[in-house]
Amino acid sequence: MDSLTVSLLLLALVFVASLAGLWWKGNQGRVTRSAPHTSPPDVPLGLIDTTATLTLLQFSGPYCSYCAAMRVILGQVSADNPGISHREIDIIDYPELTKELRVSQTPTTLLVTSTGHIHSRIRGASNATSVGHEVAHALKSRKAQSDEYLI
Amino acid sequence: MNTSSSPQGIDPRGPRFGAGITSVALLVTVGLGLSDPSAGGTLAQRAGEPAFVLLAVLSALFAWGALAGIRKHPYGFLFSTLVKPRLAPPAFLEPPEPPTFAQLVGFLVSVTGVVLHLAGVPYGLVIAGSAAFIASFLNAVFGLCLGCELYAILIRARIIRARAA
Repeated sequence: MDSLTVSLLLLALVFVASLAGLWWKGNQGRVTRSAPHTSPPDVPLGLIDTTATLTLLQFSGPYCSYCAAMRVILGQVSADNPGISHREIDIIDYPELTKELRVSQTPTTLLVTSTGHIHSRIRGASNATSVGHEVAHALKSRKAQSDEYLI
Repeated sequence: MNTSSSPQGIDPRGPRFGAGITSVALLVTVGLGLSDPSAGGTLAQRAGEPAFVLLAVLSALFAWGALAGIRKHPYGFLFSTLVKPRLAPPAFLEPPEPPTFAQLVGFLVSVTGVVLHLAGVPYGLVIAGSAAFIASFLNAVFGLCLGCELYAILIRARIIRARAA
């Protein structure tokens, strides 16, 4: 192979790797919200704090670069907001749940209501601002729901 | 409950620095391999090719990182003596297990290239080298541990057996 072809192929390789990296980076901390639904709970109640309005359920794993960083952020958010708890589980201990809830990366954080229903999911590492924003949204929609029941 | 925590973390920029060196070396390997990807000649000739020698050395370095742990990798020593004193303290610490696992994945991929080339498989070295390059490039530039992401998917697919409850 001549050197021009080789150079072009190497450039293509770097380009493809960069695209993959940008795609991953763009998806880090992506939030998806679940449609509100009734029974049964998505998450076993034993894994959440049922006395809290919202549990930040973090899925971690033995080979996870950002789980420690996420632990600090979620711990801070739960300390700053009354009624918010942080729980962390290892995907190795809960393979069934990991499969059932389609957790395919660590960290994954689920915002779970006291009834065990998932409000939203944060894929990958995120920051305190985004998590705080999502928590505020969850609390607001919980409030709206309970007001509805009163009527 | 959580087993992924480690009492002492490492500076996450250390493994990324090492991955940077590795990715450049792998890109050179792929370039050298591409100029003659046929994997022809005798076994001794193939084993003497610069691309092969380079990939063999890189495989050995991956094996070192995987077996001795990322803290004892020669690049880690380079980082802590030459680079780290010039940097601000890290924003967070990383457990040593993920980058050590990444070294194991890197070893498996690169040693596949070594074996394929010795066996005379055309493009074997180039393809394995490219895969290893992509993984180390993603680690160096974006801080993504590809092997770690795969691990979660393997657990979910039940390919890796979990501990008995």
